[in-house]
Amino acid sequence: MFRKILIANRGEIVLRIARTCKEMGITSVSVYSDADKNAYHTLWTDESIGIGGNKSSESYLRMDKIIEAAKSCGAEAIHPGYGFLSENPDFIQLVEESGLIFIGPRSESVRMMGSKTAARELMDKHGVPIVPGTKKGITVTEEGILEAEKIGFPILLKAAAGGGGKGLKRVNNKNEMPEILESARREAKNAFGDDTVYIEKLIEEPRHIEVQVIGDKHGNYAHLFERECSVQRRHQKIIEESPSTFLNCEVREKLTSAAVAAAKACDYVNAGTIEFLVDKNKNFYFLEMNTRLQVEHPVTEWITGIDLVREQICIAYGEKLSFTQDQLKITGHAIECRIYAEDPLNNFLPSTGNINYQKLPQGPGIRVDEGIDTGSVVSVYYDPMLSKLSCWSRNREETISRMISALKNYIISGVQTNISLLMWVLEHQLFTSGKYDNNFIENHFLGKNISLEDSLSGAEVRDITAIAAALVKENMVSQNGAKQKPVHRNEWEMLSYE
Amino acid sequence: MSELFVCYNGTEDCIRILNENELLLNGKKVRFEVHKVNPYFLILRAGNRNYRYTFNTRDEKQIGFLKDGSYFRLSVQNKLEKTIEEISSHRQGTETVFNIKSPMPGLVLKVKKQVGDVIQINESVMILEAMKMENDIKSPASGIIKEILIKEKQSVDKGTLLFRIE
Repeated sequence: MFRKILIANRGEIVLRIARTCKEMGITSVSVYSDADKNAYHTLWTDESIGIGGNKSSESYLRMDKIIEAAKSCGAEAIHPGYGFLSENPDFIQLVEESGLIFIGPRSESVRMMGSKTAARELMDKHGVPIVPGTKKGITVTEEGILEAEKIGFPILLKAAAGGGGKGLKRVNNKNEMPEILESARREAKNAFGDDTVYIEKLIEEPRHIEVQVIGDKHGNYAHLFERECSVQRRHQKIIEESPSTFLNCEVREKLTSAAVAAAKACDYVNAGTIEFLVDKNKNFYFLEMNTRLQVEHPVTEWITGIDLVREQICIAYGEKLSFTQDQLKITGHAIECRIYAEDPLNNFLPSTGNINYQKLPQGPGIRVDEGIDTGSVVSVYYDPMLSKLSCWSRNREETISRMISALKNYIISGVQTNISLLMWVLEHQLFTSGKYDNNFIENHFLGKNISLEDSLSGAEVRDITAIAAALVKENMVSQNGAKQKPVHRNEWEMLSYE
Repeated sequence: MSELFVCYNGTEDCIRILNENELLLNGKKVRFEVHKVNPYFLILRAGNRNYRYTFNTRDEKQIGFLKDGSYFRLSVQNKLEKTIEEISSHRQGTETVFNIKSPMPGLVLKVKKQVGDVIQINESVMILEAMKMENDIKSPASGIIKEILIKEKQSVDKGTLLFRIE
């Protein structure tokens, strides 16, 4: 087995991968930008190597620096995590050529699936249904309008190299096309370094359901069932669950078979995810393949008991899958909530700051994949996701109760988070009944819907809260212990940030 | 100890802190205990019950808490602050000026309005790129744009004055 692995990423996923490394007796090495010098992932891996810069383009996207770091520390393999270079075929090729092992698919598979237009063609050829749309990139407004009119408005503009909702825009009519096309191309360029966008028909009442697939280097394939990811905002997933309430056995069988066929079509090795759009009549369409470990992989780990990262590492090392398809079954129900530093009541503006204090929920069936710790800094340079809270129980109802309870015990001070929005979703009748689609947040969350009065409805609670506010104002809270200092930070941090 | 006025959701409470364990809430005596875990997390005990508060944000007027998965902000003023506010709001009358400040550091991608434009509440005035996303900056009020203090492609810090709307 590998002795040392470099993890070319930042935040929670680095810690997630490092935890499995530790279990397997593998030394984990992280890389860090200047801004992340004292970040959680930097300090909690076995080794850490500075690669300079603050911006991603100066650090986590610098292929040369990352490969050099891996070589210099004697790592045998690189795990890319998600985002950053994880789906960049040029990077994978460089890793392969440098004599290191890439923990993920081969560069050819990623190249094939990475261009969404090429992937659609490939899927079409292999009998996997696709959403109607253009097969080539759009650069000129007139061409965009012409193609969109052929398919019929409303349409979606999507970044060919994209993912994560960046460079993805809805266009309702031809008048909107010039401005939105320009904006989509700009976002695509900034996020992926490639401004190619294409057009896809907008499916009404769509649900986003994806299938986890995995393949080894010996031609064995398996799927690990579906993840329902329809609770989204601006095409960013917020809550994921497995199994989906929308699929019956028959549709699940068809969907997972199509997913495995898709993986085989690109000769796929390692863990990957086939994303589908499912319409209200349970017809499904191939959306894209994510050729990497997915953010929401914990829900699959909960219901199958498989450690996907361990599986990834073993496959990369050349081992066979540790299980067969018929050994897998869905046990219980899992939900994941993404905790973002943003203010749902203020147009979801990202919130930055120092994490003054954090105490994470615990208990049976509760897991937190956290990217920050007390003392961490949430900066403007990176994605605002702070952690992933996932829960498991025997059935969906129990899992929802467990998640609500865990959210109530999620203590974090220093940034605004979306916790209140997550609570609102979990208690919403459309969510509890399972009758939601991708437009749930946009259609039902009007910004002021998160009623804060509920939690203060009892006269006693309201009184006590008023007292707490008054005590803070008068600094009375500090008189019980030592005198209150304005900010509690370690000296290392002061050196680099002040 | 002076009086404090706590306002939440339109109603106001008057609190006079007597000592570390007693205060008057609207004239009624309340006994309490404060257990401070650290400057950002406190447990208030009243009777047999424990109330946990994560102290999150604070500006000149408001104090923000996270309690049981919900955020809320209460405004707290002492007698002097309350009096000053009453005088100044009286003086301003109906004429109001809104200063739109940048809510976060970022890059100004696009300025959609010009000085003199009429703008509606919630209408987008500019696009600010931060954390890899394009964020619409919306007007907090309807009015006329009096001043634009930034240019496209300009980097701005949190709190930079962007627009003045009257």
